[in-house]
Amino acid sequence: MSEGNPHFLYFSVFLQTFSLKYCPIYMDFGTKLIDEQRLILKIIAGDKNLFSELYNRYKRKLMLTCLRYIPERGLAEDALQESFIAIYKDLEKFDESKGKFITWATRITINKCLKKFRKKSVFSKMDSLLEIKYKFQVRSAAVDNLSLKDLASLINTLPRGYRVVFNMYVVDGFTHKEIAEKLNVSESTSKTQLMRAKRLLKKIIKEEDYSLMESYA
Amino acid sequence: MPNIFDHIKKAFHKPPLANEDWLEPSDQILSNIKAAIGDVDKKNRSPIVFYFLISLLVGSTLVLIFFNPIHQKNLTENQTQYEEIELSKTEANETSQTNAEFDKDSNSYLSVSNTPQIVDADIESKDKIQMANKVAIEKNLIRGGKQNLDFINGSYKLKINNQDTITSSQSSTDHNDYTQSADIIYIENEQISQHAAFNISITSNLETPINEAWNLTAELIPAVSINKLVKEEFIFPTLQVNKLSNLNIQSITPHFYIEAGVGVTFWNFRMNDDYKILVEPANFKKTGGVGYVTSIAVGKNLNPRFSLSLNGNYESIEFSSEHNSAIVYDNNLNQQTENITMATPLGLVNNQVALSRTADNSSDHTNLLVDLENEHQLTAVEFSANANISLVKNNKFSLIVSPGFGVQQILSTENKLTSLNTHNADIHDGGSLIEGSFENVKSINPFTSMQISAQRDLSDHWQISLRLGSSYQLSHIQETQDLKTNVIRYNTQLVLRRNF
Repeated sequence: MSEGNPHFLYFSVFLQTFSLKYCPIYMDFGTKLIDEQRLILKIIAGDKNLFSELYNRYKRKLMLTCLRYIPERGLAEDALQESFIAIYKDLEKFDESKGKFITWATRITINKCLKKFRKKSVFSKMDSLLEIKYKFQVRSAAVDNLSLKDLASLINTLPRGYRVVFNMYVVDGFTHKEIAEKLNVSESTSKTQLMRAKRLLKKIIKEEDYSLMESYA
Repeated sequence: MPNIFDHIKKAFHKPPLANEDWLEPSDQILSNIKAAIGDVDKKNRSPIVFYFLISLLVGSTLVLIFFNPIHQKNLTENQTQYEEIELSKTEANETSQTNAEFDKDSNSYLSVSNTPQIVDADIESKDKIQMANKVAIEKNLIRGGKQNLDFINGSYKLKINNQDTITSSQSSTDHNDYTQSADIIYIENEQISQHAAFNISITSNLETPINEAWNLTAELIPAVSINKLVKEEFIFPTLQVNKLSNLNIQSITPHFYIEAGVGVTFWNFRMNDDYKILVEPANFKKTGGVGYVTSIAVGKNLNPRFSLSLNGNYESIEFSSEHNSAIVYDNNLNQQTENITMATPLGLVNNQVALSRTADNSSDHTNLLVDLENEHQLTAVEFSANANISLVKNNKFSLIVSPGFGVQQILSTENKLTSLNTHNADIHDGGSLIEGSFENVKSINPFTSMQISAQRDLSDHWQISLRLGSSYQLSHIQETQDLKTNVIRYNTQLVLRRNF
């Protein structure tokens, strides 16, 4: 019975669930990772109330992800809500051997954010027409001294198509091939959008008089 | 060498979030999540409830139209200005009581009981019944040259709840109308009260054999309708006389009506999320459309509580929008023309704006963030069919709901650039005009509507109502790729109705 076998997975989940239910003391030992795993398994076992704990642990991290993709807060919160509901529904599918929970949850969140824009409108003809129409109000300071909020605002000044590709490639580590598949565009489009996004970001930073801009150029 | 993008990546990857309160989602999010995971099936029920409600509405409407106890009878071809309904011949078992009465009195008469269903249908007219102390028999009911029932030449006796109520001699002495008019006989009736079920019988010495002769039935019709035919003092209910072999009952409900109205209208433009996200960085703002509406309608009463109508509306509205736009001004030019795509609630409009420089500038170019304000006008006509259901109906007041369906056509749209502010003392608006038009506005849009009217009778033929209506477009009024706008319209009208 190999680990790739789904029966093994179900059996494993069953064993862990059984252990959690009837051997709580034994399972209370362990590191933070085990705590997270234990929390997830308890939720899978049916303790819905513990999902609030999971929510409280990761809400800010995932909200930051939502706000990077969707500047409008109300819509970002909608995406966050849908993400957590999807996380709950798919929690049994989470495989810790393949990565951390937050990585898995972030991917779900990104997918929910992308669904907020339909694939066609990720690259809108307005992108080129509404560039830099938002007056980006940041203090004159070095980029590396910018707060997280300022950095998020900086990314949000980008038109949607640029912003999505920039976030996916630079921040979230997608490859151009993955981006192309997700957004249903060609890889060259993804590369072009990324190049324009970077160019535009540099321009914005320069116009806003970032003192360390030259060192980054 | 450090890279700005690496810095951004690191900043977002393992940020300390404990002090980042701006990332705190609203409390409602967790409540919504709990509700969703608590009952996953809850979402799936909503369409079922929706379809159930729609089915209920459609079913109720069909029942009202086709199974109304008064109007399930077939219409005769002899329709004059009044509705005439043909009844089937009375079955023997239904007239057994009548025959018994006939044998006993050895007179020609017929007894008819009004059906409880009919009474129930207008049970809210109790007050009217209680007020009534007169009942009229309209003897000349059969129109179109058909036979008349001549009470004047024969003696008769009317019974209500098996009590003698009046005879022809009493009637002739008590009521001048009886002698003066052959059409109407008034009968004193203290017994008619709010009690629903009562029997009315008429005894006559007419030579015509009763089992082939006349049938007297009572039909409960709102007083407001009766007034239209008889006279002001005549109150509810009316008795109608029919011949068994060729029965025609006159319904006093007005058959047709026309309406005219005028009021104000408000259009709420609802841009989809894609559109809102797109224009949000440009600080886009818009107002709803405000204007006037005029309407006309023709309708047909199918019964006192239900009618169908065809409506035509004309609407004219104005609304505005504004956003900013980045322009790089070439300082080598005294005047520069710039192509700008403007965002409006009704889609994108391509335009040219002219900017002129009034002072020298040493730099090659000037970055401008220009504020643009636009005004728009729109006119439209719409045609709709409505089902009008009277929820409340008493003496002179009715509360009517009218679900409907229709089609709207946009007649014209107009744009005007009202303001261009460069926020730069040296560069000004050089006489810009909007040259583009709404290219992606759909000219024809289906919609559903719901109206509620508070209606009051002014006279026999005239009614006035205050009408609140809302319409929901079933298609997007504009669609530019994934940028879409829908419209919900609200209007308030004062409507005058003439009945025929």
